[in-house]
Amino acid sequence: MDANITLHHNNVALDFESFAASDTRICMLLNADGTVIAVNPASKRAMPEIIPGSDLNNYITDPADFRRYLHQCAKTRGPLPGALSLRDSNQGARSWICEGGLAKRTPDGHAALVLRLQGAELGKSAFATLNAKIV
Amino acid sequence: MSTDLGRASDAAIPLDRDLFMRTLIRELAGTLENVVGIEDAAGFISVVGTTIGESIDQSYRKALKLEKLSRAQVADVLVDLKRRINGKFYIIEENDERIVLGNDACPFGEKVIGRPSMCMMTSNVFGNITAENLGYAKVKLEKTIAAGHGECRVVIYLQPMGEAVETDGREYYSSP
Repeated sequence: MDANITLHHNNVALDFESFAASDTRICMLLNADGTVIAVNPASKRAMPEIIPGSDLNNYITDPADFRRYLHQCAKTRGPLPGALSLRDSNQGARSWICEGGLAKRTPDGHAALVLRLQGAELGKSAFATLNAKIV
Repeated sequence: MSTDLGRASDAAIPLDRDLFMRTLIRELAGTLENVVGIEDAAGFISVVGTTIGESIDQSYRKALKLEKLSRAQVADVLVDLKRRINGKFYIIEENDERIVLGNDACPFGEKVIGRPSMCMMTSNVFGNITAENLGYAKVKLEKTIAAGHGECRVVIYLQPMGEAVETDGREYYSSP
């Protein structure tokens, strides 16, 4: 991917900012290799260190798995569920569940992906009833 | 021990590995649909379908010694892969715009009825193989045995234009 990737995604970045601004979940617009193109306000509040131009791989505890996940997301517009662990500025790590999917594919093959995160503890609440039955 | 007692191995019950595995998948899909909802369950099954689709695509291309499959070869592969797992898919239409497939038998058998999320396996496998070879696919499951139609009709649009744009379906692209 070239350094001018954001030029390819100018329009989709503007679209992203308009629809993700009011989303309370952390939303990011990414290049298929993990470079951040844009983030929404919820992301800025939760992870101020991740800004446009950041390589999200640098914050992921398992970059190989993450690259494989992004590769799959880049191939479909349907949201794909996943999970990842992000290092914070204190070198701690937090687990997140996520949904990723293709936002735009340019004719020259560049892909822009939307990634939405929510805390893993919130995601697990969907299974609380099931867990209660099992226990 | 009484000799009147029957042996378990003589019991006439319909249980074998295939039925066990199909029942297992049905119950897993049902649990997911109930706990997280059909849409999210379909998402989880999509992740599995994507991986399986990539693997099957690579297997066929390697076995056929082809870098890419043509449109006709893609249609042939989609029918053949289903045949190998006891599906009965057939080509209804194949042209520049779309490939339309029919199906009289689901590989999951009656275990798929009432489990629409399991159809995402077909959507993702077909979509990934088609897009990886032809660049793009939009898969619409017009009829499904899972939804009680008695047969499946799957339309795969090959270009993001015309009827494909207006149609609901899941879009797939080749690897970036």
